[in-house]
Amino acid sequence: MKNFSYSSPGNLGDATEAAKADGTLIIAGGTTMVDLMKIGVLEPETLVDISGIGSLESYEVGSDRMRFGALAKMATVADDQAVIDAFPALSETLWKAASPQLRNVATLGGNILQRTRCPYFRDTAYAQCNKRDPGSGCAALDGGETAHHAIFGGSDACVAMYPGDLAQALVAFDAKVVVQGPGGTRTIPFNELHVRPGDNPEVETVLKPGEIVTEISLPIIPAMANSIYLKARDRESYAFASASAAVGVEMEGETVRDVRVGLGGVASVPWRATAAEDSLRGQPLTEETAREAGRIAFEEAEPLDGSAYKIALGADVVAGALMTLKSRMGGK
Amino acid sequence: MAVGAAKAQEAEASAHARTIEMTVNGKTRHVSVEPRTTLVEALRDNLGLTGTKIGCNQGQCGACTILLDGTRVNSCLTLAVTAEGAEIVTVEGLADPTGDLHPMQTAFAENDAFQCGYCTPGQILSAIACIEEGHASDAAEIREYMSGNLCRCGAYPNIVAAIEQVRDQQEG
Amino acid sequence: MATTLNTRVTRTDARRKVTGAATYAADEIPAGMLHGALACSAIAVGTVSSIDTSAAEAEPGVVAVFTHETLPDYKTVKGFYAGGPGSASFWPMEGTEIKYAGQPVAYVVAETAAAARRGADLVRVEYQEADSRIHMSPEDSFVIGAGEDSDGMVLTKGDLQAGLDGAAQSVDMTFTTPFQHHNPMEMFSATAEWRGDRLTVWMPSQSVRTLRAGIAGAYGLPETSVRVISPFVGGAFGAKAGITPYTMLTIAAAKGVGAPVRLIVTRPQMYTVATFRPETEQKFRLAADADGKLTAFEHIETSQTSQFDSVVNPGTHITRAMYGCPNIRTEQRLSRSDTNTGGFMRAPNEMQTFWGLESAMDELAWKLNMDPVELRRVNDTKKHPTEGVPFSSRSLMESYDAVSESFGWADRSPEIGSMTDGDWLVGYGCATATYPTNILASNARVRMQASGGAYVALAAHDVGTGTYTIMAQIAAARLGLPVEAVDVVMGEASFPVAPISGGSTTAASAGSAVHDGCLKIGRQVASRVSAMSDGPLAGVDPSTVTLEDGTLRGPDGQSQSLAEALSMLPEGEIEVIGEFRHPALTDQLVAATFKGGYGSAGPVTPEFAMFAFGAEMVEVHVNRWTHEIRVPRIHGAFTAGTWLNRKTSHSQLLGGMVWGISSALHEATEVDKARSRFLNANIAEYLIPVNADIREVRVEMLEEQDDYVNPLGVKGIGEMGIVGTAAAIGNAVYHATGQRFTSLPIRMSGLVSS
Repeated sequence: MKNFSYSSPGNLGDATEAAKADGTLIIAGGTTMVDLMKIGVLEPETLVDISGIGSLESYEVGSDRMRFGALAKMATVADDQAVIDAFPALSETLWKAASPQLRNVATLGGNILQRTRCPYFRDTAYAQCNKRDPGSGCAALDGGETAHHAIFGGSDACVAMYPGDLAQALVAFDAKVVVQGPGGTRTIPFNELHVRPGDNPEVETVLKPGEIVTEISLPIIPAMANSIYLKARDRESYAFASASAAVGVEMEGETVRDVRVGLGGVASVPWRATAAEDSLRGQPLTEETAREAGRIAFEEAEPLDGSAYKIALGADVVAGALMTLKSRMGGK
Repeated sequence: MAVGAAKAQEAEASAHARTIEMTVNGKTRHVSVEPRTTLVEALRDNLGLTGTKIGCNQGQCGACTILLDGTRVNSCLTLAVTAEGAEIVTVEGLADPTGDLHPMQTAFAENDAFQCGYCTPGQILSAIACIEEGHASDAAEIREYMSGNLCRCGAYPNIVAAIEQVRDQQEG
Repeated sequence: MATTLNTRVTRTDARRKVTGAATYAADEIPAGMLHGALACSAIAVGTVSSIDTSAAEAEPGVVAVFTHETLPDYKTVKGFYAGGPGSASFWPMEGTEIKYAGQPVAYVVAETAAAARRGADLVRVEYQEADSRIHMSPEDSFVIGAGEDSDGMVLTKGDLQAGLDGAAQSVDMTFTTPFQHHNPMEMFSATAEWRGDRLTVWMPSQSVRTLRAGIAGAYGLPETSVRVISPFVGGAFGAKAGITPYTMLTIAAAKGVGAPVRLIVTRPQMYTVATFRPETEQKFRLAADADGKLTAFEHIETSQTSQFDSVVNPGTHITRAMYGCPNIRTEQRLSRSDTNTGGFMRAPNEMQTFWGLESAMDELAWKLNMDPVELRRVNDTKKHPTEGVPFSSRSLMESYDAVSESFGWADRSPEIGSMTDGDWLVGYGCATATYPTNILASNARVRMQASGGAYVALAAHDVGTGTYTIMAQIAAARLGLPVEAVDVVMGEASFPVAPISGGSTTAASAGSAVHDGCLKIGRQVASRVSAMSDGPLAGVDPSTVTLEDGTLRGPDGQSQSLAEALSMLPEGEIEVIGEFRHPALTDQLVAATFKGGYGSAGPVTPEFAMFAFGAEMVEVHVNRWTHEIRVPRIHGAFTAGTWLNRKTSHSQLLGGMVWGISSALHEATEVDKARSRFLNANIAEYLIPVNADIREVRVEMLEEQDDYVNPLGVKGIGEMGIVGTAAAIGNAVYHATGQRFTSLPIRMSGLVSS
């Protein structure tokens, strides 16, 4: 790891000021940052440690919104009964991610900004990686192994997968993030926070130098209470999703009034399956409509040789999530 | 031919270095570290507490698990500078001063909850935290919440048995 | 007082392991120690055109940067498969040649580990890259050796075609297995300290004698000038047997900087600087008559090897021992590709071949409409099918019967997809486990003191296997002492020779040497006290005295405890070297072991075929939505002669079965074909089971007596648990889903796409 200078400002103002300098990165839980620094992917001159800014750790589940300070720990939020009751899928995205040790230090703000696991990005021995070294090419697309790459949102420059779980719940349920920077505070809809790779895969978010995510919030909607995060993976725990779905359903009698579907393990950015949602609204929830929604969710997918399996898998995961919710709701 | 480091570089290095204070296994310790020094390196190489193991150095295996202010963390992903003022417990700090083992250590020994023993310090600290966190209600929950500690020898069922034994003792 | 074997004894090193007091190689920090780090090649094949070390040298804390041009006094040894102690025959940093991705190209020494690793990152290498291929190609393969006469690499018995032609049913199937890496939890490390011409190396090792002989030979030093120390090993599984480039580079670097140097190999580098399980292809043609009796058995195994070594792990030698059949043909082939040399990884001949054999047997059972257990039963044999000699003991069907009972095999509904549990399809599968009993020469120093207690020293290893404990148990049982009164020291090359901890040999071979030492003590003490004028054994012919559980017994009921007899000697203690030399061991084999090599007799001797056997049954669940495959329970019943310690044996077999689950469903080294590079070289994306993957595991250890294998009647068990497990799981997946998998691992991606 390249050496760096380190500071831990005590308040946000100082932190944003310190963070805007070139070569400066912000660190909180450090579970992604320290890892990427160790393997030489990130080489900051300066680290600004915001983990001491206690005001960013609090969170609350209110009557119409739930708000999470960016430094709230994954483990804390996952285990909070109010969160579990109000939005089970959100708790599940958290406890089904990483390991207990990582969740004890990893923050919600850091989690949504986690970096891809693309092996060509992470191993600096590969000369080609447009995300790590703009303009160098993409080893995955140049004869590489693509089983773990995106089938949505990729480009000719990059097909790296966004690896997170929490983001799928946030994108499907209209979350917003508050960011504070040298120019003040602004609020960004969560679905606008991440940027598809396009021609510039090195740009992953709309955050500007010095801007720090301070809060994530969601409106409380009925579909949250009947929600699930179904994560398909080749081992039972501590693995990234091969395909996953954060799904919530609100029924009105026998028909679907509202439904939310976020897809993980398949896209270059957090991904909401709006067409699948639309196909279900106003319909009864049956195995047939659930499977149809799954099919529609992946209609526009652009798989690579190695990742074609994700279409069938992802469709079944969406259908499975819907059918599991249906059975949980019982006769409702 | 290789060369030694120039004096100017050493000066630069010491400019990065700083002394941190931590409480390790109940004792106040001062350690001189660089910002990039990880906590596991400080424990092992600076303080000689080699009971904490490095299994991947990338936060993937849990062998380096310690308790930091009471919670289990991977010490390989923790920068030592961020542990300033922290209370740290390593495997060396579990037995009481008379040498009596912590119940979890005894349970691991009795249940043969290891083979090679390399992941064991991390497993034991993780297991203590697993009960402490309230994640040991049944075998399935223990398995899920011990999944951050890899064991290549495959001692998992015995690890679960050890944790259930300690949990039952504490509840009884 | 005597401790009997065949009981559950807690490990004697348990306290050290749960307190952090057990010292693994990298826990040793000699005074003045510096830190090493490797820089490894970014290309697979080509040459180094230039190396710029200036940035690395400028990094604060860096002491030296060595390249092929600057590393002083670097020595190499011959590779294992060329009869030497090395992990491979090609040595990096001898010149500019690059033969595999991740080959060491520079060695950095620094004051801290962080500075060394940063220095390694800053080494700038320019290459001339050539074409490469990482996958083997069965079309471009060759038979090992010279054919029919070549050590059984090609073997024909009977008339295969006739057996195929006349059969009621047959299967013709091709299976594959991927590259796998051992991934012990303990990272590879080496610490070297020179004091003049004397060298100490701390390194986790499965064979300290191999290391010492090889290193001393390379440097032209007497073996007594080289110490190799490895008291605890954090898992090995075959990865820590040979002398690797990182060992010799560290020794040279320590000499170069004039200070002790410790290298901890990074987890990604562990994938390329040592060995691995080569990828393989297994072709089977099996045929049977209407009753299921095999009429033809053909197995062709093709295994990957490097461009510079021929890795020979002949799995066909094991598969052809399994089932009676008059017409057998086996062939052992290799295919070269651009990797470092592979090697032996837990059950190196058996894991991949039994995945094929036991899957093919299952398919044959389906075709015959026969219970797969019954297919094994009708083909069970008491004679080795190709060698003609009887098995020294063989309890395969006893194992099947026991596991059938424990598992509830009778509850299986045979139709595919006929069993469900909520959203999960349920399948049952079974397979045969086996492991050859290998026999190696061993010595052991045994000292007993009249004041109480004994000391056992030998250059064996506890790689997690419980060796410290069973050696203490054997001595305790023979000498009549409590286990905790026996002090066992191992893992140091200066101790009496013991075999490589590989091939599941240590308990049987080194244990037999400890046993022999104890009997020797009995004989020598008996001879001394019988010559005395007083005492219970005075005047007894010493050749008639036996030692049983610490008591010397004469022919006419005279007896005296060994400890008491020992106290009558003026020395008050006695020390002997116990020896194990099985009659099947030739002088050549004994010599090989004493030179640090692998001088194994067996599993087939002129008199007997020696194998341990077991049977495994698994229940597999396949989720109809996520296609996740889980193993809620796995049962195994095993027979392996005498059980020394039922607690540590249980852990060995359990661990093996977990490895089997891992091979079936989780682990594989993925590759980047375009650049001939291992892709998931870490322990997050190289999946091994986590705690949540392992649910009910039941291990039954059945009684069996075998007086031929060794005086203790012990067969090795360290590897048997993994054998057959993958097939049992594949067979259960077939039962649940109707999908027959022929490639490992079985993943959800395969379930949805076919």
